[in-house]
Amino acid sequence: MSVTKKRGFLYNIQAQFHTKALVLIPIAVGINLVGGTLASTLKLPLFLDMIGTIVSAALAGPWVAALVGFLTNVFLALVANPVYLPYSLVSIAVGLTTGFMVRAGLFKRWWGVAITWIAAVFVSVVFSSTITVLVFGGATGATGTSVLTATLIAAGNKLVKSVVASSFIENLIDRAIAFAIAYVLLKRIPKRFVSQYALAGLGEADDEED
Amino acid sequence: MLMAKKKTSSYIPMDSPIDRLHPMVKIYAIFCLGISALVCPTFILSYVLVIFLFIVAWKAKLFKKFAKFIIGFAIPITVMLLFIHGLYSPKNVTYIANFGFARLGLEGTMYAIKLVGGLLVFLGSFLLMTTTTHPGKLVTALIESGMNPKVGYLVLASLNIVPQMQRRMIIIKEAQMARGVEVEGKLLTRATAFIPLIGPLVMSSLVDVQERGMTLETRGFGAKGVKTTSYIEVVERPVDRLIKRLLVVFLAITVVASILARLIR
Repeated sequence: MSVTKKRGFLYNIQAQFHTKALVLIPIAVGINLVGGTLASTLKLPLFLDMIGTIVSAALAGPWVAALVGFLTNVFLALVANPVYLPYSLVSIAVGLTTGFMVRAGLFKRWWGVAITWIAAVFVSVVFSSTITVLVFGGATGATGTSVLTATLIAAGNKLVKSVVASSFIENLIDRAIAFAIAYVLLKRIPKRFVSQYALAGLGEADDEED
Repeated sequence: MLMAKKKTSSYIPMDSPIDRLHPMVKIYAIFCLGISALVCPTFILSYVLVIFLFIVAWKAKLFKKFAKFIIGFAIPITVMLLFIHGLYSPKNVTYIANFGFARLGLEGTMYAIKLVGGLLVFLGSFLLMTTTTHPGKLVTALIESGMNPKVGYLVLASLNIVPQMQRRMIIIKEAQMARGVEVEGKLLTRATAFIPLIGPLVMSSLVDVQERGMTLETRGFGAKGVKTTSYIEVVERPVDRLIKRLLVVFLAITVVASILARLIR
């Protein structure tokens, strides 16, 4: 019984990876990376490197989004800095969370997007703080977040508490803007395009608002 | 232009013995050396391995780049970790220095030194792997060792698509600037410029997705039970097999030695 159930679960994941979803993956990785470059070209104090993950989660489901997140970090590790590699777990977790919440129909309304945003921030903070503490001992270098962590520790706070607090501040604003942009973009994607992914949860609310 | 300069891969083609190694040997090296550095109870092994990596980098004719990365990474993180753990770790009982505002503890300092050593071995060997391995060869070697060819396609396609999208971004930026979108000035002005720049990029990329999907389908990308072939060949030479075995033996010796060291103590 349990074997067939497991096979069904794996089959479900595999069914998400049809050719159209597969070709979406490198493009979504590209959107993530170009979003990040654009944020630094415009000298914005944000990363904004999750837009592609959110868009792919809404179009093709959680597992595709998880793979997009993972490949984005692999790419950054290959091109920019190996430090990004352990943080791929954060991207995978955010991709899965967003994907499952879109599937539950939360992207139909703006407050649903807000709930997804809070959930994504929560997941990001839990995973990235765990990695920062366990892998890097609390700081990854002379970045703003690490300096903030060190300041909080010097002010008498515990290590874990300080890492969580600085990670929370870092993620809250960044993810809010990323989700807002992704939501605006998703509303503008032609229905003809969205319909080929046949993911319930996006199209219907459009009809009511248009 | 800042974006145009971005490279797609950190691979630097060099005719060196390290470059000629089989990609799997380098992946073995990352894990065997990295795990040895982690399990070993003293920090000395990590720093011996870092020196060994410097010799490998010199052999690969990449000494300067490697030294730049190691120094650029090691100095800030060592300072930060010494600050966090050396001065404020709750485990500190023995103090070795007094700065007035805080005291430097021995336990936290040792922890920071050991952690930095392990990180340097892992990240340094990873960097050496990526700078000395052609991405195509790496993916082919991974597929030969059992990775799904579709995942291989995804990695290589991402490496190809990103510079294309970055070029497209420059075109969109120029077009939007011609319309009067301001990309400089106050924070709010720059922030609002983000949408008219990323929007057209996402939309045009999605058209690209459709075209790519159709092209791949007509060539039987989704076909099952077909043997995939590659133009890139990776051959495993006897020397590759030897180095792989040496690495595994080295890992086994360190693991056994550190277990024994812990039992005796």
